[in-house]
Amino acid sequence: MRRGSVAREVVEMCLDARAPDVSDDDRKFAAQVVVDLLPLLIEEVRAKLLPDVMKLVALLPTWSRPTHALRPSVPPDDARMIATLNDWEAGRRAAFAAAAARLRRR
Amino acid sequence: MEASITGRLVAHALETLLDPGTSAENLTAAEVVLRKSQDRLLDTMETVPKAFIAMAPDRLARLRRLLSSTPATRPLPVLATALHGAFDAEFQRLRADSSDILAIRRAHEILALMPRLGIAARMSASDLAFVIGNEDCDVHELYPLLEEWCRAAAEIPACIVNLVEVLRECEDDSPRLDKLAAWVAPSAQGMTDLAGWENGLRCGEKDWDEASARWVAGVADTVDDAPILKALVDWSDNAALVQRAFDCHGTRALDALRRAYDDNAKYPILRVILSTWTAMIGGAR
Repeated sequence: MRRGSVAREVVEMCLDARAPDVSDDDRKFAAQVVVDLLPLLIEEVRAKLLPDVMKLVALLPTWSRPTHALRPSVPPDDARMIATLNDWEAGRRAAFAAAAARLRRR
Repeated sequence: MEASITGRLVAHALETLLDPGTSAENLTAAEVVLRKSQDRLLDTMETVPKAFIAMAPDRLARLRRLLSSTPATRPLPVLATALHGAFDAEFQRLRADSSDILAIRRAHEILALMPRLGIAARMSASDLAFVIGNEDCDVHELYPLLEEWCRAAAEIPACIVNLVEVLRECEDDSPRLDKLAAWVAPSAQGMTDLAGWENGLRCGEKDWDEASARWVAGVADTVDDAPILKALVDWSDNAALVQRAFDCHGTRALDALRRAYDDNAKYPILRVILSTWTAMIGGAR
């Protein structure tokens, strides 16, 4: 029988995707999995792993960062993490606006 | 060569899913990974099908829910053979003891997996009718199987026609079953229901609502109605089912439409739909 938390094991495996030699597809898959698993972790474990998860997500291109899925796992009183999420979302909005402007010019 | 992170994650999740002692919490975590990697899940199922097929019925149900409801389009010959073999084994147990609840649950779950893998067509009609007709299990999950099987059949045998009729009799208000029954076992009531679903789909469209008001008032406007009636034939899944009913059953389908029309004297909108479909298959009213 499997003991221990599979969610925690998988999140820790996903964090290996921070290594520089990991492909973009692998890193994106790991980030998507990790943000969906965070809510399944007990609070202390989530709090311990969250900074590394943020580092993993930061390695994705602006457009691919799963900020909406990540936000519920970020403590509302952690001003630094909330500010980072807001920055990422602002970056995505700017990327979208720039792409729309490029299309209009064509 | 070391596996990619995705490969390692999926392998770990699969191991968790296949472990009969895994807790519900851990299964949920494994499912998060597997739901995001359908291709790898299917590849693995094709490589080691027996490991999956040996699972308990509740675990088979979890596996089914992990798979997209859109049937797999890739060929899965090894898995198909294994699933059919597993079904046959459960079926033999059921033949020996029809009250074997584990056998009936496993047979149901194996059947319910098949349409998600696009491999239902090889089932024998009598086996299908026997298992689906068993009242010990919820049959709703098997409707997609019945649909796929019927679509692939060159001819629908009487035992399946009868099964569809009985299921429809048991369940009011199931568009899925009504649509299947409309072409597998065409009847006046079935055509009325199909016309009702068609009207329900179109209600709220401005042109349709205006035309409906005219029809209810007994006014026909040949110019304004023409594109609406054309859409009832050209842009309607239900019209395609009526056509299929006619292709399969000929005059029986036509008679069902005509009787439905006669039965609905008080419902002019349904009559417009029914008469348009009747004209479509060459039986103008």
